[in-house]
Amino acid sequence: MSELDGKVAVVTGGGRGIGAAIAEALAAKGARVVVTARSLGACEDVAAGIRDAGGKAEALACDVSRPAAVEAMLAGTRAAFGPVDILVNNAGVIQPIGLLAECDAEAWLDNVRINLGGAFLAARAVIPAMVERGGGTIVNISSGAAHRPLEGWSAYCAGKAGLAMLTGSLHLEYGRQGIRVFGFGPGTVDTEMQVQIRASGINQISKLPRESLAKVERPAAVVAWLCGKAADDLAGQELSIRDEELLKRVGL
Amino acid sequence: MDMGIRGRKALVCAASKGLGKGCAMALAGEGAELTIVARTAGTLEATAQELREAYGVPVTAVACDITTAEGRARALAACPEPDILVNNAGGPPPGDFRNWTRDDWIAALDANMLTPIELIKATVDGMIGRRFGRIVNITSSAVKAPIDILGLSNGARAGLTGFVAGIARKTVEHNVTINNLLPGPFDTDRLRGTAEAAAAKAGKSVEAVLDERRLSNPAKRFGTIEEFGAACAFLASVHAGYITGQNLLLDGGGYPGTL
Repeated sequence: MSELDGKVAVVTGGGRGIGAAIAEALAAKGARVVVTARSLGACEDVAAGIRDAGGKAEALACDVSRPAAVEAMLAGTRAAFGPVDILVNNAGVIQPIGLLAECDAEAWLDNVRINLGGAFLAARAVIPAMVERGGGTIVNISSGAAHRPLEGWSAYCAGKAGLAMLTGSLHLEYGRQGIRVFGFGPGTVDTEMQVQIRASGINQISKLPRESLAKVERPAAVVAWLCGKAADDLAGQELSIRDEELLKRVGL
Repeated sequence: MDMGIRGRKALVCAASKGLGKGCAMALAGEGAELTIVARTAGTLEATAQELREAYGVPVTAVACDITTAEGRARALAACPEPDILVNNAGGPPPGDFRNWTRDDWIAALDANMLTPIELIKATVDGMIGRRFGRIVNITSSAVKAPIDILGLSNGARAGLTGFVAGIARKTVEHNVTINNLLPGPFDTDRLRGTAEAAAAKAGKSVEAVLDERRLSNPAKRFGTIEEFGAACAFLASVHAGYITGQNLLLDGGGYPGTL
């Protein structure tokens, strides 16, 4: 019997990159996974891949910045698998990249709506049923940018910093009721987001050669581990792929 | 309420006007990507453009006769893997059963029974494989309360209803549902056409006939295509996975029974 057998997991931004790898890692541990993102086709490909590998997965489209869309996605999740045990708030965007005063106002606000607002909306919607059932796990995908400013990334930094504080708030308010929440910075990983970052040429992250970036499976393994009992003592914390002690515990 | 079908692919038959258009509008309003089918290219393309502009979703228009094998092949080539299928076709003409030939019957069965069955057959296994499917057949209130002069429709649609009742119980475990919407009088070209024929026959004005028909309905009005489309969008939604094999009347209460 696998550790997450029968657990119901939702992974936002699951159509590609780190989110897709997290969905696959959770399914490999026995979870039933809803893969959701704005692009339904990408989610369907990931879900089909999981099913082909013998796992259980469904694809649902969702723009996490829209409250009604989040509600519909979770209604679809309950219909398919039942109430949510694990929520991975992974959906995120890097744009707009540029000096603060030069950013398009709507693009800047959209970034925060997705990266911070989306996590809030999804958490807000799953918490009551988690509390009622005695617990649940929420993983917010954080970033080094949550804790130090990077030139040209004011929206991303502000949103991720807000997300770190959302993690803390959630732990404070619901930790005692069995909800384990984690912030987790996956490091610089070889994803589409890094393609956009390299193309921008702004700040030191954009100068990192692609070969130096980590594979998506690495942070995904950590997230899947966080969803198991072994991580209980870390609830409420902001964690990072750069934490050697954490990697040792995960077995990486 | 968000229907949770943004990005789903919908194939809507007889969608250039009337009830089919109402369904296309509602699905597009929920962000579904549409392939719409109708025989007349001009009205179909106008509807497609209207949908694109109003809802900002991709709309592919396929002008063909869906009741023919060639027409179905073209529609399915444009939309080979629909998540949502709305079966619809114009109803057979009214008349006296004594005048109907075998060919009349075959035409009615082809349009209103065998065409939806063929489209279901062509798409349902893909839906099962993708773990999401919503099939909505537009039939008629005449399935529940047959109308004497619509014998061709009564027969063909009852045949479809029986077929659907069987398979809808086999697909639902895969999150694929099949339901029928049963329209009573709706404010469409078809209704106006039958009113014009009735008016000519009775020597009354079309408006007088329409008023009579309005007032004979408990709602004292005709249904709107928007109301019809909203019901279709709900049955096509992520929320309706537990509803299958049902026959939902939309008739303003015209059918007087309890079930």
